[in-house]
Amino acid sequence: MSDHTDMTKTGAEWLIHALEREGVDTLFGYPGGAIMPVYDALVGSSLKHILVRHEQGAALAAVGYARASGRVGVCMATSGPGATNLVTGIADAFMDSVPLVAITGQVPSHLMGTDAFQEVDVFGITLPIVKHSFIVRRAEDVCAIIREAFAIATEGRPGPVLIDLPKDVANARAFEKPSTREAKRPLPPKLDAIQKARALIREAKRPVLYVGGGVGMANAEAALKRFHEITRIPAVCTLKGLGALDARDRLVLGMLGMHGNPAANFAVQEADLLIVIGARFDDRATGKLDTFAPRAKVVHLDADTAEIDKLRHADVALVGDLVKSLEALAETTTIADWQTRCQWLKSQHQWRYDAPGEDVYAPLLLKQLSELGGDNLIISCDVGQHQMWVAQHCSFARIANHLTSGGLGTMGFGLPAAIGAKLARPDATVVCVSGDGSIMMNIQELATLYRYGIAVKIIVLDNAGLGMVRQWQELFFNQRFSEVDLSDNPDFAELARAFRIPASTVEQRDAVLPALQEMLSAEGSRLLHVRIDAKRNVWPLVPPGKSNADMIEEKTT
Amino acid sequence: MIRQQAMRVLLRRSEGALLRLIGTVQRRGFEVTDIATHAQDHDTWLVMLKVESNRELRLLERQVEKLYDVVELIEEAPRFEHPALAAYA
Repeated sequence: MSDHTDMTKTGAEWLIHALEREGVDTLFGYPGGAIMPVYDALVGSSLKHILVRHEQGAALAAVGYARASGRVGVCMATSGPGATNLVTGIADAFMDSVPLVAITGQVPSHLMGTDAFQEVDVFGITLPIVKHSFIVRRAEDVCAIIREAFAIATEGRPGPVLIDLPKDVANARAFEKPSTREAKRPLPPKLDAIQKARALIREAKRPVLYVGGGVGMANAEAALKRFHEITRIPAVCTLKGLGALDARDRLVLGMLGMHGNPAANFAVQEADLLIVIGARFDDRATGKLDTFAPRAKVVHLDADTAEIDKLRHADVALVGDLVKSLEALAETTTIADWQTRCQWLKSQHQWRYDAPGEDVYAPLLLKQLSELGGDNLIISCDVGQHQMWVAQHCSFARIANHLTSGGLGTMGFGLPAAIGAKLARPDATVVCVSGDGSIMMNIQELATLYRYGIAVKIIVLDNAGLGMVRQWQELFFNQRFSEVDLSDNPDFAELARAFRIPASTVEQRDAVLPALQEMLSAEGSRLLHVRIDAKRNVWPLVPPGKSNADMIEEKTT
Repeated sequence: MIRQQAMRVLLRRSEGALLRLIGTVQRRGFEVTDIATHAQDHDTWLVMLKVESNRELRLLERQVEKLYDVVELIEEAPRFEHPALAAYA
């Protein structure tokens, strides 16, 4: 029996063993009662565990790790409040299709369903926001469930998987039950769909590529670039598609949608064919849906069948492998008049950086940051006005360099996601661009930066309020300002220094460039607190419920 | 226009599978007006649903097909002796 005993481990030990076998090097978490056996098994393992200061930070750091690297992010928490604190991060991963494995401790099986201390039905709570989930009932199943979870998280359209591990199962000894499960490879597109799509592209006089974040998930950026070089079809990007194509290309018109570039929106409105690549007709991209690209036929390329016809009818759908679909459709086009028209649109809607005044102009700051950081810069955003300014004024060498909470719009995303990104890609320059509202939502992770010496730079654009909400109240709620004032914010530079992060404050426009240069060249983490005009709005914009054709620009006096 | 439509799902008998299926149906904009489950064997249930919505059933079917507990959607109505189940045919 003794040699048999050597082959057994506890459920917790199998869990750590299985994570190591998946190639996991880093996981983010916070210990507590029900997950203590797993933390015990962690001692001496090859896994680097990052102890965050709030479980939401763990989940969002794992999301940042996954998005920056293309690998599965892993986070871990105890039962009850530990588990519920992961929920926002899991929802974020669900909405943005991020491969995430979230592991929660659970009270022992015999206490489940008895309202035990720190018991919560996290399996039930997360049902609508996971791709799949498991409660591990037997220690012998741990390895197979981990294998299954990693396969599910990555195959097809990626997403989060939850594994709830009762404490008695974590403590029980078992033999391993091996698994041969592999992630399913995407299927090639159907030949008849390719032929129909080719015919539509040949017939089109005003085609537009509508590029989304699915391109990055499918590792199809190189294929898209080749497709664009061959076809020279004018392209627009969604928030999450930014970085897929070179923004300097004269036929790349920028972001479409609510705060997009007018050139992108107007080209889409004039299009007679939309080639939708890994995008999903999100309402922030389309504006009023029944007025979106009203004369366009649609060729929709996606990994997820459920996106086809969900919001807009597709004349042709190519479901499956994006790389193969793009390769199959890459043919030269003869659309010179349309290309000229789109170049003209782009030339007419260049961003301007000559706003009057001496105060810091955030769009200019972000453009300077983007230019200084170059191709090796990852920007992790929070949510609000600064997020839209980043999308408008920064350019990205690849999709994985722009971490932004697109679907869920999670304030508090920026700092933990930046931590995950820096750990995933230590050679990259990682900057968290946040606002004075968002930064306070996960400010405790400054302690994580300090503890592990993670060289994340933070820029807090401080307009002493909830700028995007204030902007909407100004424009759409008759200037009835309600609960948007944050003028009693702490001194952010002092706050950072309290966490032993060096920090400085900038208030004048001419001080920005040297401050950025100093911040980027410094070793280690830095926080740059930037005071900006509280009344500055994000322009242009499509009012809620309106057509993208009805973009409004800033009124100049 | 609200329409009543029927859907038959072969479902793996795994933890949470029924909740996941019903939750998906409701969350995607369909009201469940009738539901019956029938154990096919040790591993699978046949779940028969009547749903109402102004949305197209095929859009729901695509969401349901993605669920890992779903073995398949069944096009043809099965025949049942039991009158309570025959209503779903």
